[in-house]
Amino acid sequence: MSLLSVEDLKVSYGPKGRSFNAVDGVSFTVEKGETIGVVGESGCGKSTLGKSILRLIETAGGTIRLDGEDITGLGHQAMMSKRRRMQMVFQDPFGSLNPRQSIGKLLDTPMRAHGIADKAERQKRIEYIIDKVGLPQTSLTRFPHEFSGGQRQRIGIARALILRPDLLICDEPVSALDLSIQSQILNLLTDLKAEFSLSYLFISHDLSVVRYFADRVIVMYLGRVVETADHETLWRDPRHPYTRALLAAVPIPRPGSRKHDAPILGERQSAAAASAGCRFYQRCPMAQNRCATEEPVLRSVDSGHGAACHYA
Amino acid sequence: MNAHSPRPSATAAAPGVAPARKKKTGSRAWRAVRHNLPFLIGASILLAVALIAICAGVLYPGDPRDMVTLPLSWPLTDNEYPLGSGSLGTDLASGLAHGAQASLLVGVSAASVGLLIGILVGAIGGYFGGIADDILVRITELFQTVPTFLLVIVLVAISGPSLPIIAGAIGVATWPTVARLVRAEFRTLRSNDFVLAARSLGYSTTRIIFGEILPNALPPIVVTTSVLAANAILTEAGLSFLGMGDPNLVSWGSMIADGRSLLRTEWFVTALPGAAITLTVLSLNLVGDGLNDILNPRSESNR
Amino acid sequence: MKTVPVLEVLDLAIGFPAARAVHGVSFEIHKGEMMALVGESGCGKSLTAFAIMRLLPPGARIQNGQVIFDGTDLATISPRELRRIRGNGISLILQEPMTSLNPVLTVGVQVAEIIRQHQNLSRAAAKARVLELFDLVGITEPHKRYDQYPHNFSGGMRQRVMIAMAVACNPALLIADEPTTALDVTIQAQVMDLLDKLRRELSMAVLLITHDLGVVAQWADRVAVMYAGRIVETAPVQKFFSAPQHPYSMGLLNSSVSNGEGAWHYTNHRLSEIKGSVASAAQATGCSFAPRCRHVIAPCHGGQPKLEAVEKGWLATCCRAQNQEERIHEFA
Repeated sequence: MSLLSVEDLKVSYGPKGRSFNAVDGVSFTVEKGETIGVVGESGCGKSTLGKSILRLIETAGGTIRLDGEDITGLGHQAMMSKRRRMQMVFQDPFGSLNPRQSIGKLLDTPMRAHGIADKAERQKRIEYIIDKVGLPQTSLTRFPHEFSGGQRQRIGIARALILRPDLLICDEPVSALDLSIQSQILNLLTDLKAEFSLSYLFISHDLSVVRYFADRVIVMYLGRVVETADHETLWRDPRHPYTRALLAAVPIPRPGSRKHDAPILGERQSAAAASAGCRFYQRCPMAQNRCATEEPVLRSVDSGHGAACHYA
Repeated sequence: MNAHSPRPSATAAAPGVAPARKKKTGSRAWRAVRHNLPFLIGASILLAVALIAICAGVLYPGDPRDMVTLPLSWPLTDNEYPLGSGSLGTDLASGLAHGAQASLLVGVSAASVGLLIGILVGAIGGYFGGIADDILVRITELFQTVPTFLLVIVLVAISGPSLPIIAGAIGVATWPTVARLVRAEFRTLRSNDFVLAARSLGYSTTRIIFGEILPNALPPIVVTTSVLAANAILTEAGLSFLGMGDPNLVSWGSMIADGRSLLRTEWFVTALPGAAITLTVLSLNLVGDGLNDILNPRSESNR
Repeated sequence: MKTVPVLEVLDLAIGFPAARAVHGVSFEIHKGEMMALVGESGCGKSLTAFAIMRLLPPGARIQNGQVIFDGTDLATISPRELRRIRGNGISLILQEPMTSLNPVLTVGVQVAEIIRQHQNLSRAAAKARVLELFDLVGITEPHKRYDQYPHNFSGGMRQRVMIAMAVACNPALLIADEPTTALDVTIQAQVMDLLDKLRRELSMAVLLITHDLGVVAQWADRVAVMYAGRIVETAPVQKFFSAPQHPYSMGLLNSSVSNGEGAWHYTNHRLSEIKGSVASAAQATGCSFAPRCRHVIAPCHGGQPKLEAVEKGWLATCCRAQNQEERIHEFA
């Protein structure tokens, strides 16, 4: 049984009548110990997807299953026990920590909210986890503004881990960090994954990072999954024209490697303007008449490799 | 795990700009206090007034409304009653001390009532938004369209003039200021990621509102509170001047009313309580301004 | 072959009242060249770039050094002369195309205004020039676009408008501060390609400020790496990526998740890290990178090394790079 399985998930924004689906029929699974990378450009719905799985945004349709149990309709109390198993790491290491709480309190409150009454037990866990994320014990009495961006991200990770979850949803966890700090955090996530047998849903706009860090990758475009494959296949044999364009556009730190025959794309449409056909139609270099009228479904093109394109 | 253990060093302020500062928040605030002269002046005046109010019963054990000497003796003429006496031979010094009690009590309790209602309304509207917010905003506006003083008079006229009623009425008339402020703060703060983090951790709404967001909204609320208290003192004085104050208490307002007809001859009867009100209100405003600077980290960095 | 550089920055130091932020930076840019200034946040790269046009944040001041452009020292000329150069001889593109345009004016008017400010053109002539520029930067249907407001433009299109504004007066130097950081990766490639095309067509020098080594490798000719307010290495891009000389440059390249071939995965490669944080540089007496450096030798603590030649056109502030025997060969 998959740890997390999402089926036909829909999330809509906007007032009634003029609403659009920011996430539109997304299905995937996360197995135990696996890292799923979700990539796409701004506005593709990847961040909304992560938040809706944690029920921070109301869903408009579809099911989210944790260990086979449907959690889509659970109330606040019933959801509490599920929240222990799924936690989130945020992009902004400055905004995601309450500036008025000491690190000790930041780590203590989740356990109190989840009814861990024994103070000694809580203190023991705090000391253990702060060490695991590589911060000194003296950090506990200090406040978020006394730390650098990378250190704050460590605190954010410690807070997410304090309830001992099985799944971490990482929403752009290294995007706000400098290059040298980025590698520290990625190494930390790698170590923690092994140590606590975690699964990650790793959301990022940075393809290089996802390529390094994900086992399987989901490529999203305007609320839809356009391609999904394991990391090796996706980079070796991308099938969807959007994936190809995306991969070709990533600047590689090696001079002279730029491919000047990369497909030229037009400007991106917004999800609200999605028409009847393929959402990528207007930007697609290989669009045909069929693409304007018929929306392609995600179909298997190889074992474990799916693409939503008529011509993949 | 330790092979890549990160730096144990402290801050990373703007690197190369300033060496790591290890000051704690407490000491930063204390430094700001010491460098803020208006705040220090305001706070000392306020402290002195509070001290007199607390000790009024010990210093002047008798009822300040009792006739103790000849009426209208000028200040500094009688050693026993250094501040002179009122039109009915009451001791002005005793009246000022007991009046301080009444004024500060009204100020504090009215501000508390306003704060309580204002925070509740503002927090709920600002956090939840939507229909609840719409309704609460309309109610707030309704209260704001009625002039504060008029509303207080009506409320006191209906319920009878006693100190708790007056304080309550002033609080009820002034909470919209707090509510609007709190709502604005909550609307900004609720979109912060730390609120999202709190929700993802399953915190209850009460915990998020009062434990996570409210502490961040406190600085401007604290500043407003001091102004609120100052206004409450003025309003109470106005009421007492109109003869709608608590008849069983001496307040600065009622003392001014007492001296009204004597303004051209024995002006000190009016001037002394007037000065007391001015001084107290001024000190509260100074404290409010000072707190604004002290609690706002941005203004500190410009120092 | 020695030509006069378009811009020559000599020993530039910038300070805040509390402390110095940029310590004696020197570099030059030649005609038609794209030079990248890279470094992590707070290293002083943006401050250096803004100091060229004397657009410093409040409190910051040029404390020493010269900025020679077109034979004059921009650090000392009058504000009036400086205004003549801004937008005309040197222009600027900022990171955030969403806020750099005035939302209540049409895009065409905003670009025309720049042109009319620096060139004596009639309204009609300015408009014609704007349409020409829109076409140059790849804005389709320039006539229609001229009368539209910024909110009608997507992020990439707005950045194209900003570029049109910047090149409107044929500047000799274009300073681009993280021009693509706020854009999606597919749009980034388009905007960078456009800048690349323009600098060739208009033989304009470009100073590109970025933190993205991929962008540097793909589009720049030369790179200067800044660390804690100093340039630690400057080299032609090819040489920099194949054999960086300063340990900080090596650290940056090694901590990258992509090695170009792209075979790295967390299961088979552990990313290398640069230990410590920049804050430690403040206390160091010797080389400012010494507290974090993996290759420290005794002379490193002797004093801040100067930016000296490793080869022609390749300089580094590392005492090991300057000594053949002591060279570090990490990139075999």
